[in-house]
Amino acid sequence: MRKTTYIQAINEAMRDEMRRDERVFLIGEDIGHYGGLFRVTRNMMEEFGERRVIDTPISEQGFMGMAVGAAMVGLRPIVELMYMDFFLVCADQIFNQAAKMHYMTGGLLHVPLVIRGQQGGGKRYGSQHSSSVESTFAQFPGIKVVTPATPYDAKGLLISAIRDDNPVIFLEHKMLYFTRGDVPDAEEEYTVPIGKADIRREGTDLTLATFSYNVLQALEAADELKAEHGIDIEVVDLRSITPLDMETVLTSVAKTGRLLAVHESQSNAGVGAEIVARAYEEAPYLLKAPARRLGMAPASIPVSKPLEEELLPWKKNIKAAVLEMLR
Amino acid sequence: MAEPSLKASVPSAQAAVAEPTAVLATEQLLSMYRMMFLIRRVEESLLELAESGKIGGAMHTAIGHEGAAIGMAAALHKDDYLTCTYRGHHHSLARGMDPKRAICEVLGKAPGFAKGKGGSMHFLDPSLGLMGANGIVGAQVPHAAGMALAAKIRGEERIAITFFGDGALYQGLMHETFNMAQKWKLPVIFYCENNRYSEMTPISRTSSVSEIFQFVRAYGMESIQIDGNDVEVVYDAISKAAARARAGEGPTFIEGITYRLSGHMAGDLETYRSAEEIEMQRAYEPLTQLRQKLLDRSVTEDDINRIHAEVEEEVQAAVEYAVEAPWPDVAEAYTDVYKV
Amino acid sequence: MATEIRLPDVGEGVADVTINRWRVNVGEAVTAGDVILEVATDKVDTEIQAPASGVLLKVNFRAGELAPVTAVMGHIGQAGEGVGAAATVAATPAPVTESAPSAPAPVNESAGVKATPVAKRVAADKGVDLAGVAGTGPGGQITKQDVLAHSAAPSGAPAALPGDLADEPTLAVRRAAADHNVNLRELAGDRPLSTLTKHDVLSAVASRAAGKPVRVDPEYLRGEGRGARGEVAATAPAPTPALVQAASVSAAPAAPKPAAAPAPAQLKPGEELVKLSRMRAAVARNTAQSLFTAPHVTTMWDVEMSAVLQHRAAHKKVFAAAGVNLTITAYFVEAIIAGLKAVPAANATWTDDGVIIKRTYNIGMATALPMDQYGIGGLIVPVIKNAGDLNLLGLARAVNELADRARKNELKPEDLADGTFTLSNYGTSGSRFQTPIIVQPQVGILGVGAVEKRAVIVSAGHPLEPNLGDALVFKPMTTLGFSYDHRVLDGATADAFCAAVKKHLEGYAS
Repeated sequence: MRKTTYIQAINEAMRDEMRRDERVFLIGEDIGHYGGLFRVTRNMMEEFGERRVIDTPISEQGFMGMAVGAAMVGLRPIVELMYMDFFLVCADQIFNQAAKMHYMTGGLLHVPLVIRGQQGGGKRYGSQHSSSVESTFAQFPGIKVVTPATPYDAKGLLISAIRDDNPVIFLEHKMLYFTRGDVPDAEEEYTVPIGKADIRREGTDLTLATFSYNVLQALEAADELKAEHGIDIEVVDLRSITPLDMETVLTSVAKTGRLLAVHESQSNAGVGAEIVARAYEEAPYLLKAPARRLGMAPASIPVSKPLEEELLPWKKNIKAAVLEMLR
Repeated sequence: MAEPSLKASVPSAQAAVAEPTAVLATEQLLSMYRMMFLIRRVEESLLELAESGKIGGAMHTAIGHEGAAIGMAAALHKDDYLTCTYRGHHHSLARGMDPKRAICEVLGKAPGFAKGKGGSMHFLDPSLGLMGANGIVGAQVPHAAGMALAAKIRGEERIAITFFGDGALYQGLMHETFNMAQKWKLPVIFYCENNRYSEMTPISRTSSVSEIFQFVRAYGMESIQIDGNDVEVVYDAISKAAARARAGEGPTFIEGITYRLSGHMAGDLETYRSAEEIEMQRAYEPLTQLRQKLLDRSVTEDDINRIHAEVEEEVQAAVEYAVEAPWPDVAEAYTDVYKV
Repeated sequence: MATEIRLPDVGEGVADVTINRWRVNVGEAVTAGDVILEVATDKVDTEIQAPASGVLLKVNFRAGELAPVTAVMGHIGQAGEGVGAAATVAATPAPVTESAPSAPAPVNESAGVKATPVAKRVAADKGVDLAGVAGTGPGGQITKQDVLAHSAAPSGAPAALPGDLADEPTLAVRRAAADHNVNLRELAGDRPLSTLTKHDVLSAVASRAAGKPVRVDPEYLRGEGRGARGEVAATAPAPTPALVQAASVSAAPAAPKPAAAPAPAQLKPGEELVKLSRMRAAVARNTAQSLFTAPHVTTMWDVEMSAVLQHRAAHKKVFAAAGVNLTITAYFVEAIIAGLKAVPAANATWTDDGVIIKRTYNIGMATALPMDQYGIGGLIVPVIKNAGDLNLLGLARAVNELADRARKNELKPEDLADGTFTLSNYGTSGSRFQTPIIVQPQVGILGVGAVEKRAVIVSAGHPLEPNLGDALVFKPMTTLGFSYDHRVLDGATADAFCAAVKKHLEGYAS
């Protein structure tokens, strides 16, 4: 084991898979010579050359469509979207084409595509560069969505995503890029399975199910809640949005009796609503109090720091929600 | 702005019109005729089925477009990739798709090649290189470029061809694809089946560009305009473009002038064009042209009629098979969402 | 009254479970919901929770024993309470209720039994005591399915929905089917789709991942002269002489002549002489000659088969559309070619002058013929000629065609001649590992065992020391038994062959 950054873990995952499987290639804006806006694809072009690391013009519809086409004939492209907000520009190729291809063709074609990029607020990039998009992706069958919160999970999940034969959306978070964590040594191969949540912190009073940067925020909130109020919450890191691991969540709720789902995408009709709905469908008798979800308030994301902090479902808002539920 | 001309080839200083330099053998023209007649009869049968209520949703027939498909099928290899529009029955049938399974798929029956899940707008058969018709205008074009990119990455001799209508040129992703394909010299052929109408609106009403094949000049791409109804002209143009692509010289854009004799889709009331216009176009449609070529080569009316009789029988049997075929089991509604 | 400890639904087709261990001793206190017992089925290990609080009074099956799924595992009750046959509560109306029969009775509030409101209602309607029902919901909750299973036939499947809703799967089942690409009709068979549970779907997913042993069951030629006492080969049907001739043609040129017929055996009471068919005689002669001439060593290799199984699942349909049934055998043949290309000396013949390396790959497939009432069968080895020129589709087609011809009794001598290497897929008869005998004049024979789900350790940490990165996973595995002629190959070169075969099998990408 060694400590490394979230970015390094993602870089290694791509590099290892590109070495192992020559069908894997990278495509996106500024990823080759520049190494990516956030330097996630650094050194890739040096090692793999222009044939497998392709710099594109600003043509999301075009290169996403080309990645879909290449995947349809057996290559395994990894497409970088510079900001996940930009998926809207090429949404047809993702939702109407990649997601539906296997079904529409009765199983004759599949699209082993990975779309990766960072999302989320916290750096004051404003409305069009700070969205969280997982809830939108969760609406569509045929794609998988993963949201690693640690370097260990980032590397393991990205390898699983690359090896998966379905389109996988790999959501990074701009606030996680420079976090550090333990990752096995470079020669040791491992994967993290898609569709399996993880308990990050054990507790007894409430189950907080969340993912991505919110896991770190929840852990901070948990420490403060313990110190200041003696409240002990259990934090479940979902790691995958589709497929959703309700088994782990409900096993936790069987212990705590309370459920709060937290996510940075909009509250309305979001992933949190899905988690709460499934809890009621499958095990309502486990709940001692109404289950709740906490998402971004229904406003666009402002640039100004105090306004951004007011709206994001981070530590302050998490603590408030937990205290309200345990009042 | 010039009105769309009735006869296809437009000799001008700007357009490079391909004169057929390779004349096809009579035997080959005969089998092309058979295939074209088969496609025509399948399309007409599908329209009848739609009128009798057996086909739901949107179905777009390609009556009058067959020249491009037939010429292409002769010019390309079996493993060259093809993508096309939702008006794509003719491309698939021309490359050998089984008409029985095609009609089953349109009707949503179990023996359809996609188990009845894809329908008319999503024809495909990967074993014949048919990588999908698409319901979204223009979406199939970057797919083909991506397949060409894949062939290039793998170092293969395969190329990709994509068919689209004149209406598609106004989608942004077309231009994104043209730029990248030309820049990276992808082995892809862009073939525009210009039938002069974008769905129900003639392109002259909404386009600021007068000639379709001019679109790609800005990207420095090789482009020509041809008579898309003459199978020999199409065969020649696509063969040359394929040779260029295989030699690593990059993409070619072919504008094939044609005309759609049927409505945009089943149920189209066709209020946007006159019966006279349609009648005038019949003289230039591909089946008539090909028939004339055969007669010019001393093929007899009897021979042609014999072909007609065989094809009628085959198509009739296919329609009956499809109408009798079973519906898919309800369990299939939940399969193929993910590949496991 | 003591509460029975029963098993929840542990999967379709499961008749018994193995008791792994009891977590509580007899006489100790338990709380409802505690895990008290661990059992194992063929597919999964399951934890059983206490259906009530109290003391563990009695245990009916000990660790290591097999228990039928419908049996009572043990009893929980008050200390000192007796446990008799009368303790079965299952289908009888609970006498606990005091209200009039027409009013729904709140029967089941005792002992803190956790049940869904629907389960309680259904239990009241059916007069089932929830204390005796095992719960399969989260935290051991009793669901409506559990109540229905408890009062229904031992199969445990939920009752079908009424009328034309019978074929409507439940929401959880639909979601599971779509998530895992499971065909519900294949799973349910004759049963209506509304009787499927999510557990059924997930069990099917687990089975699919494990793969099933490959069965190749063509109806081959019948041997001659079998059976009736004293009958001789001369009365046999015509086709076989060609086979036997071919079999002896493929024997080494230096095959010893059959010894002069010995004096007829003296039979004691209870003994019976079954004359050898010509095929049996040929097999006896050839195997003995091979084993006692070529020094045989067998090297054993484990191979993970998930890549092959996934590739096959992905391509089966496309191949079928081309008229070809894609079997696992085709993959093994293709992998053998890869191995022979890596180690050309494995595709050869030994002579005193030197080793004759062969450039063509004619791969024989050892095929068992049905056995007679004495358990005496037969063996033929049809050969795929020029297998090196074929891709997977071609190989699969060749395998189909040879099997087909064999089934129809249409194999010709040339189908059995000139093999350069042989595949013996004894996995189809259930074996994990054998030490096959080389078909002379070849130099190696690759045996392949049954494909089965095994527990393997996947290590994320140090490869040999136990650590937190280790995971126990279930993978479809098979074991190769490669027998080779030690005059030509050594351990290292034989293992190089196996390594290439393994790499090829594990390298299929769908």
